[in-house]
Amino acid sequence: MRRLILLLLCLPVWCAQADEPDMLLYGQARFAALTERPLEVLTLLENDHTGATHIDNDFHNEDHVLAIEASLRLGLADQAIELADHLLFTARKESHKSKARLLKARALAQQKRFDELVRWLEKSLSHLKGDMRDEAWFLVGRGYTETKRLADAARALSRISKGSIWAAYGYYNLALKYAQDDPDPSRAWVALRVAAALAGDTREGQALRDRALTVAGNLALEVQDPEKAAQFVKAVRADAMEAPSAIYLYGMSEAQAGRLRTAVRTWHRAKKYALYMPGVAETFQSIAWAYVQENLKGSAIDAYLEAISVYEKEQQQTRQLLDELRQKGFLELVRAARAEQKSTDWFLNTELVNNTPRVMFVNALMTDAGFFGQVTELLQIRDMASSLEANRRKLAILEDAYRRASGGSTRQAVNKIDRLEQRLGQLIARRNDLVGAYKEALAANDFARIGSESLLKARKRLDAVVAELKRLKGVLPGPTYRELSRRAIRLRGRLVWEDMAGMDESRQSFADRIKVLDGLIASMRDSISRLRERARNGRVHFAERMQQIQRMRARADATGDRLQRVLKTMDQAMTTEAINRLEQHLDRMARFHVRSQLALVNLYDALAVAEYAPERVRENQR
Amino acid sequence: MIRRLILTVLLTACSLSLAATKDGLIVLDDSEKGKTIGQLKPAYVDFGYRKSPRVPMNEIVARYRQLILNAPDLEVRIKALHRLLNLEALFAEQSPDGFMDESLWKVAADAYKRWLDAYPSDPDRDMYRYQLARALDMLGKPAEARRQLQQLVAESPRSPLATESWFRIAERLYSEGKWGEAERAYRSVLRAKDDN
Repeated sequence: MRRLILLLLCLPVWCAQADEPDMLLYGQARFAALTERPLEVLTLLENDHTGATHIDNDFHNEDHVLAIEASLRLGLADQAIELADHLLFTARKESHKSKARLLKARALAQQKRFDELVRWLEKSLSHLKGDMRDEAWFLVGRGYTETKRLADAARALSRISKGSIWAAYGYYNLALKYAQDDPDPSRAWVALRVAAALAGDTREGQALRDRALTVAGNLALEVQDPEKAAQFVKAVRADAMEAPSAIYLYGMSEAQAGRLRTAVRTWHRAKKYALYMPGVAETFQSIAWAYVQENLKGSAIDAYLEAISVYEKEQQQTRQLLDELRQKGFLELVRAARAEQKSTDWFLNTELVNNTPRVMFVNALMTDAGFFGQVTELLQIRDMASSLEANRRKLAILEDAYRRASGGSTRQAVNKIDRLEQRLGQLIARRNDLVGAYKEALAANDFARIGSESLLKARKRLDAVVAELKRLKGVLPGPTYRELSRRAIRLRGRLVWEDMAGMDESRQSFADRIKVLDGLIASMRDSISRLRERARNGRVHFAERMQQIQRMRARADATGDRLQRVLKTMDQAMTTEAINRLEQHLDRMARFHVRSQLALVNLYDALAVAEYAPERVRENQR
Repeated sequence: MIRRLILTVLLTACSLSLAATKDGLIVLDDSEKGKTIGQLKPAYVDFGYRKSPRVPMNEIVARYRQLILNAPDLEVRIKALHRLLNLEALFAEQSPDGFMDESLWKVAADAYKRWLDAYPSDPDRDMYRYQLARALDMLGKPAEARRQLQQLVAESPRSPLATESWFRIAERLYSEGKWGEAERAYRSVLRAKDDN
């Protein structure tokens, strides 16, 4: 993260560039921001920064705005402030400066530096317009609220434009402060009514209104005003997060007003919600309590038995979840819950959420904005680690491929060189044989040895005929033998004549053949030499590539190890947090469980005493 | 207590971003969608009389014992103890051996001590200290029991349990041969009687 700041701060102010690269980067980063991936926003802006300046480059300035927003989403308020100060210093357009001012204010609020926040906005507010100005007044109001200057806070909130949800948020926060500090809830009610009225009809506004109404109803019950409480909580939406609390409070208002049976009917509506949600566990006990008040002891016993069974089941499931968390960690729990949620969508539509405790618990955690932010960050780092791991595998495959290719090529080249050298040896031997034969022919003056092939064959045949003639000397008649012998001598003479006649031609042909052979030998030697060179160069080429890949793998390994460590640390922290919350839930269920058991045995006890010792009971009553 | 719990949950200050998701937590029938709590039709409940089950006393005692020995909640333990002691008094004739035993008295002594430490301004402190003294007596620790009673009368001289506590202190001192101190304790009993 520090590198990002350094990079952004070190951009040379004189270096003007076209804003196209920034436009593309802005598009990517904006998409990441809109899809709740602040870490990716920062990664993109850090890795792909264009080195452009702030001058005449809206997108570059907007990239900074995104970086500040992403930093705030990740809780990096210090970094956000540094970037905002930098943007304020370098940006030329008032719109960018205004955003920087407001974002800095948000960062100060995130750091709970409320005095500084108020001072900062007092001098910045005149530069802000529209929704930014409304948010700024909200932040001023928050600053005053947190520092207990509630009248100043109310004045600040009154400056927010009509219809802005910031006013609703502001009055809600103010109401909470009134509720905490003032035993008389009148001022809190007024602020809550204003918050509810200003919240608007957006999803966010409706959620805020539900909260405000539930708090107002609760305050009314605290001061024993059931009719007012009912007025508030009746208006909470049935699909609100606060619905089970509101149902419980609505039932309580009926009970306080003496309408216990209506209370029981109301409380039954909360049974379908997950026990993890506030108000649900309470309703099970309250139903039984109301039956006791109505002197319907049989129904009360049934209700307590049901409550005990529900709390037992919840404790059992919570313990299983705790075991799972301790063994596998939070990240694995989220993964399993996601898979489970996909496979149980059909089931969730028609049945109780209580039957899918893992999904319920993970979703309940996700309703906590702080936890949701951490989970988002954790999942992004997990995705980065997975992506890096995939690339590490690709590099390993590439390295393996190079190794194989390098080994195969070298072997092929060596084999080829071997074959060529073998052939060269054969050629040299043949050439040497020929030269030897020539020298012998010259020495013996027997050119027939180097004559044409046909003459050599003819001589061989003649030699064979003469030998046969000698063998037949005694067999053949004298005149025949002599005639044949004369003819053989004439034939030999003819062959010698022909040999003599073709001697020059044979010698030339012989020289030519040796020359051809010498040329072949030289060419083959050249080829072998070139092949050796290429094999040597190939080995160097592969070695360089392999080294590059190994360096990349080493970097990827180191980054992967760092990511895994970060992931492990974050997972451990979130696992601990999730375990704490589950343990608190388990303790809460244990308390409800044991109290219901006590109430049940009290009921049994009262019935038994009434049956076995009524007189003694009367005697012992004070 | 319960309402305070809900209030704590609700009073979490509103951050700039509200709940991330409620999918998977709130599941409504089609007929309930878009409605408010006040518009939901109340559930049908049969309020007809149902005969209560008869549970024998030994099972009730067993359930109290279970709670006293195992309940993680101190308040529940103490309430169960009180009720069991009341039952013991009520059914003394039928169960002369009583319902309490040494293991329960040990738990009782521990529970009362912890309660007194945890809630120094509890208005029923005199009663808890008296019960602690009684538990210590039952565990064969008369000197510790006497100290607790002496603390009771010092802390809560106007407690309805003070006279009885003085009497028990006097008896204990008498049996220990501490005549002078016993006499002063007996005089306190008589003074209280005169006052009444």
